[in-house]
Amino acid sequence: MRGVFYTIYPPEVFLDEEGDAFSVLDMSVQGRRLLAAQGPDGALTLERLLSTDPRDYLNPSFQPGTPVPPATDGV
Amino acid sequence: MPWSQEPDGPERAATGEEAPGEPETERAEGEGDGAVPMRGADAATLLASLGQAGGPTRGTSPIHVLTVIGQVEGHLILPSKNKTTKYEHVIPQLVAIEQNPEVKGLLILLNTVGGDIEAGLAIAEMIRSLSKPTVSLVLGGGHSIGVPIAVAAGYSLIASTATLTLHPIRLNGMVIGVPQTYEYLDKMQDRVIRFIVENSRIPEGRLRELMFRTGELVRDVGTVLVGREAVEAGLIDEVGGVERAMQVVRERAGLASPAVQGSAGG
Repeated sequence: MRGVFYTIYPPEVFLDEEGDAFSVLDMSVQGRRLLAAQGPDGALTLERLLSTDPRDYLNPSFQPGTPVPPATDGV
Repeated sequence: MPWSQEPDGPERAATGEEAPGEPETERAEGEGDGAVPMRGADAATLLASLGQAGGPTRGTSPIHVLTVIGQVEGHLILPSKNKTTKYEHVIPQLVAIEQNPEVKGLLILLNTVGGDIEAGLAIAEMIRSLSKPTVSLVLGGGHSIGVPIAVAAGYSLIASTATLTLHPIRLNGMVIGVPQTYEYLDKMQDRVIRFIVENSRIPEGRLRELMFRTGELVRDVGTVLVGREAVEAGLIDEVGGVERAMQVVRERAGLASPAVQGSAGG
């Protein structure tokens, strides 16, 4: 069993690979976990911040769309 | 090791120059007398309302927020066009919240279409077993496995326009080919029902009736509950929004209401 999906979405909607526009990297930057989108030129922009500390979301460095700084903690 | 190197607690809030709006000198909430204008006063007010308790301003917010959005992703990585909540992120964050003495309560915001059933139940069980107060708020949707996650919190709220969808597990495109599969799904079904019943006020008979109702959903079985209907059914505690949810979690965490900032001293 690969997994039981208990969702209102039909499987063909969420399992279909077509339409994947960009690759998403899971990484840590300055101690915060985030998802970064990699554009065709390799540049990384912040897609989503994954933090439970609400104060992080007011930090301009971690707004979605912000370029991910080169000095990362690693992928 | 993908996680932050800090030994305890969730990723720490930014301090110093990384956090515009923080008061430049460390001082307890309520000491501001308005004589020295604060840098980024609006941001500082918002930060204070999120619950910086008295004491050093460095450190993490006492109320943390977990958002559960999109599909709950478990063992299978979904195509990247999906917005997902990855359970391997959520589980350690919940452990960190449980462990960190600075964190006093957790607000869970949901807008999810459901997802991997075991990952969803794992998240729900972890929320339920936190020793700190938890409050959930369903915004938009809390469908399918989102229902156990929502009711797992100590207190649950739903926005008046948000919806919960109750439906059977097997009717989601899963092909029932062999008896073993049917039994497996049936046991899963019972597990989900039991969790919801144990963590809410809905009687089991009523939950089963709503889950297996025919004629309401087009081409499908189940029920959609909007806002108040979820409260009337006994699933959710209250219709409300962010302000009310924050009020409840702060009360349950033993935190004072945020003081009115910015006007003291004129």
